[in-house]
Amino acid sequence: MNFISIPFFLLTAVCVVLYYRFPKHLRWTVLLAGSMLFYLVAAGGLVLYFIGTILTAFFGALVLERIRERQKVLLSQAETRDEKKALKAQADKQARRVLVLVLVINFGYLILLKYLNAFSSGAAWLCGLVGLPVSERTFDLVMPLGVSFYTFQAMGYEIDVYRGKVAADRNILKFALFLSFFPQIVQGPIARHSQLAHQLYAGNDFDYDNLRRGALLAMFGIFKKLVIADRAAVLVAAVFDTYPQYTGTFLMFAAVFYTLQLYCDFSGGIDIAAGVSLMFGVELAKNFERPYFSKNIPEFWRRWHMSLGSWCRDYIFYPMSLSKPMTRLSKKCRKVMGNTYGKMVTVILCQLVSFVIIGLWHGAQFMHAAFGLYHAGLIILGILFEPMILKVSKKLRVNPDSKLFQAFQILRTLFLVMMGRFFSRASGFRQGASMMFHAFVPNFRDFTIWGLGLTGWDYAIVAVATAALFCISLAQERGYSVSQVIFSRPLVQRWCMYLLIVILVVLLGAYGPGYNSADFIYMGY
Amino acid sequence: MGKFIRKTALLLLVLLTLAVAAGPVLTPNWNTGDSCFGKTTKAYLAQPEDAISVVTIGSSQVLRGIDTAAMAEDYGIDAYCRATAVQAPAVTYYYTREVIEHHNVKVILADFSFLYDSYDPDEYEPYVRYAFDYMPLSLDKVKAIRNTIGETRQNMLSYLLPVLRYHDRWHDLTAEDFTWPFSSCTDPGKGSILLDDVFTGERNPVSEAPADYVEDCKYWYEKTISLCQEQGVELIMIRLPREGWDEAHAEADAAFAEENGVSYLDFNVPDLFREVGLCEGTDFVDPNHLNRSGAEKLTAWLSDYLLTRYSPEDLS
Repeated sequence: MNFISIPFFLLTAVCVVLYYRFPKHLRWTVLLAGSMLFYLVAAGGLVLYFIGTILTAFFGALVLERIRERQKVLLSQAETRDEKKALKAQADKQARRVLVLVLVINFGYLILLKYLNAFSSGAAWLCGLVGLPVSERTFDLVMPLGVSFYTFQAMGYEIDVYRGKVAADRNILKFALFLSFFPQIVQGPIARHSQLAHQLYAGNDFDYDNLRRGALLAMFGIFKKLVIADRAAVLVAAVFDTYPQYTGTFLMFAAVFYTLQLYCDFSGGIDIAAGVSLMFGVELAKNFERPYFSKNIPEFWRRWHMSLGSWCRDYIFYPMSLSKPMTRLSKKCRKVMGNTYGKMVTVILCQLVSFVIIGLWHGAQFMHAAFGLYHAGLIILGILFEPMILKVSKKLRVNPDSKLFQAFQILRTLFLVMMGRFFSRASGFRQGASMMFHAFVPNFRDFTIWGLGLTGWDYAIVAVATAALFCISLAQERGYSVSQVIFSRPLVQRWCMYLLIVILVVLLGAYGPGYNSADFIYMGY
Repeated sequence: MGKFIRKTALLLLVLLTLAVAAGPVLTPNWNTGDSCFGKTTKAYLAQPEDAISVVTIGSSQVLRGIDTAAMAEDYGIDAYCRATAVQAPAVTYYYTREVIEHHNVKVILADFSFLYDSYDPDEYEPYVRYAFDYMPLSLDKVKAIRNTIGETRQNMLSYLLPVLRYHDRWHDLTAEDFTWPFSSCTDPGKGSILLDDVFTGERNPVSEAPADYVEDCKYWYEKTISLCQEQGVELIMIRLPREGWDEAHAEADAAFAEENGVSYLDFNVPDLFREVGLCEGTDFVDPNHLNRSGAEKLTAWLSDYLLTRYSPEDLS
């Protein structure tokens, strides 16, 4: 079931009406029923994988909590410090075993589903290297809808229970709702139990402002997706799918469009998810915060796909960097390389691992790992050269607060991000690398915007819509709420704006097969 | 909550009204050289009740090959053409149903074009649109669309709200797009669209497809025949001259007609071809369609044929 479809609109409308009609303590059942219906229609029999995750995560968390409760009881009964230490170690070991088991089961089948074909081709390649005649085998596996999202969300919950940060859910149906909430299961954000669960379970009061804000936000998301993203996708496909025909400026042009497409598509989907959630009084965590206004790559990753970034930070980067092996390594490096560079080593290693995981989360191919490595590389270069850059900036008397310098930083960051997009859109690592390399060979003489799948009208629409998006984002960056500006207008003006947004989406959206008068002129016969 | 529902319902109603109003403006009026199918359909819909006695129906062979205006002017037969290019079998049925409902039809001359070819609504989308866009909204239209395009709900919606299909056309609109949907139209051709070009090349007598009925299409043609029989309308199955029409197809056609108890006229048969007076070098606009000259001859023959079976009063 597509987000932008009549069935989804109907499902949302029915759920909203029923939600506020039901008694408060039962409202969560409406969300659960809607979410299960959505998943069944969208994924069919693959719901069994989802149920597997629900069961393992739910019961795993209960076991973890039981271990901790038992540990508390035993500790209170222990008499000596050594006894307490031994009990704690034993409980920690048990809890760790349970956690590892749940993580292995869930990440195991995620890896299997997502990466089995990559492993197969990798294994065939390796065997080929050593002269073993092994042919690659392709497995025809269907990925359950939202598997990456709900697996990460479930495992984040599991780790939080292990750490004692959240209490285990006692109601398996409510827990199923936490994982399956239909607006967010397809595109995220990856939610935290402590942030989302109580909003889902509580039964929120009717709030007219939430409903209209939610509807407006969802409409804005649809606008971004249909008017900008789906239109830009035509040019991106035209160039990326036949890239050997194009060099230099064409590739750079396509990278610009892909950067725009990806943001509008992804953030548009998130806006729809957030808008629909808001209609139930549920505030999802922010997943995008105007990332293309970032002044450096670390900031970009604090603004782009924020839920994935924070998940990797809290569950991979910090645990890894604070682990005993890393602490020992850091000590050794500081002895050998000095304090400044010594402590960078473990940070760099942890960044590398985190970003490779971020890259691989997007897909199984090496190009996705390359995408992660590219960004890790930029961050690592930033870490390594930061002291030197600060010195040089000071000597050159660069004012870091000046608008010009900030504009330079934003454009520089945007350019670097754009270059990385070659890896995320290309069909393989070689293509991505080749496109990135050739993008720097300008050929302005041969360059033309025509023949790339878009008409003059399409370019005009993309330009105007992007300009509008930029203005809205700039206003938001400066702390203005565009929705409040709209809601503060008189009734007639408000309604005109609502109608205008819908009319613009209907008329200008790049949906359907498109109308080409040449196809429709009666061929006569 | 009630306030929100009321406001949302009102907003949706306004949007629906705008969408319905925008539909005729954005829908292309199907220019076909000198004629415009949108206008011909409008003119047909403006016909008074019981004004039509003879209907020609089928695909473009019929659209080009029979001059219903000449039938009316020269032979006094109240004929109208409800053929459309690449007409889907389900469309043939529903068009037949509609015309029988509103007119005192005596005879239907039907060319069942897709008896041996499967109908792909995606491949023939412009022609499906051509047939449906100016049909007035009714339960029959919904059924006709559904039976032609299958179960895709969103496609269905774009047929009922053409703005969803033709939204891209906003930048091609001219002043005429805003005026003609709301103005009346006449069609001197009475639904027929004749062409004057002459094809002088060779027509291929060999068929590329086997003479096997396509069951889905056969179903709709048999349903059309049954409908006519129930309503006391004589359906005469006709096969206008076309390329690649061989003996196997002619026999299969004849068998189909006999099985369903309808008369059959095959104008590909050399004797009948000669009797009509058709000539390959002058009467075709392309290998599959008669031109104006050919249509005149065929129309004359058909009119005489009908007047031997019916009195002029019955058909006027």
